[in-house]
Amino acid sequence: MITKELVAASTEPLILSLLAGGESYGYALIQEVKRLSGDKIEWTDGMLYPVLHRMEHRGLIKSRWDESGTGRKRKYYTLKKDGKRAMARHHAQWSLVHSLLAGLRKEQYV
Amino acid sequence: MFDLEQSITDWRRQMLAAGIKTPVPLEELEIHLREEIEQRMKTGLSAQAAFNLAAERIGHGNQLNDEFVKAGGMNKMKRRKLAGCFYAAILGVYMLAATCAMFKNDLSAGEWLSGLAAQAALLLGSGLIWWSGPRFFPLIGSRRIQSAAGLLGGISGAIWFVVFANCILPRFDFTTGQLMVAVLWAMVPTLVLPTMAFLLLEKSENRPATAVGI
Repeated sequence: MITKELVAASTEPLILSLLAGGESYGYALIQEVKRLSGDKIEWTDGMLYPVLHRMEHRGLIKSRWDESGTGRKRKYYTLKKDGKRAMARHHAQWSLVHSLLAGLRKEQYV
Repeated sequence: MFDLEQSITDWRRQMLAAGIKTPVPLEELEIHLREEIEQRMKTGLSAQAAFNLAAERIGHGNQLNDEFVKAGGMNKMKRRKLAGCFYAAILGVYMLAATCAMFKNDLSAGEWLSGLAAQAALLLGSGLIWWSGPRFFPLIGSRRIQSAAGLLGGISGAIWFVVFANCILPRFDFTTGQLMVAVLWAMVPTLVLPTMAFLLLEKSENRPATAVGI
């Protein structure tokens, strides 16, 4: 399992990246992260919504209410222009950390 | 006999009691709860077990409400910009009024110079604190001390002016020009100290970046 701190730090970039693939809603986002991480990242369900609301306040995403195919009302979130920019920044930062760690690990084995 | 709808109604009541607002975000949370219950029941869980699990995964109302309150608050940069504009407007009005008063009164060259120096000190003092203060505030480690220093700063600006007007001014026999200049200088700490107070109080309110409760 990934530490709580790392899960917290990666929440925003993960939400932005998931929404870059198209609009989605809270429950689907949680399930998608769980599936893609092989059950290694599990968000506390309720706590995702304050994060989504905060990101909406910051102008990174926007939301709209709609009905699903089953007739259930859902709140769908979409990425905004500022969200795309924030996602690019996150990707650059996480890539840097990743390449740094990979480089250091390689050095240890040489 | 377990009644799912009654349990959801009770859960809603608990969330409302914890301060979660309706319809948003409570409705969104309830939709999530129902979706989770449905999925759990499809895997063979009983309605009661599915409800208990789904409610547990959503979390406690009080914790959730704290996070929603934080999410709804004005972000730091916006608040700082707004406070900056408000303060600049007050400063602008004050300086305009002070300069008009200087023109209306018959000041000597020295008094004019001193009055202008007081205005410059006010601008320089508040500008310096506004731009460079946040760099030094982290040196005050404890949030309590930051918050106490902020409050003290704000109050002491007002106290200083009261003391000046009631205890210091009456002891001197100033001419109109001298009085004008003395008041202008006395206004420097009165207006600069609240700037420091705002920044310190704002700093003490900030939570660490890892506070995302996910």
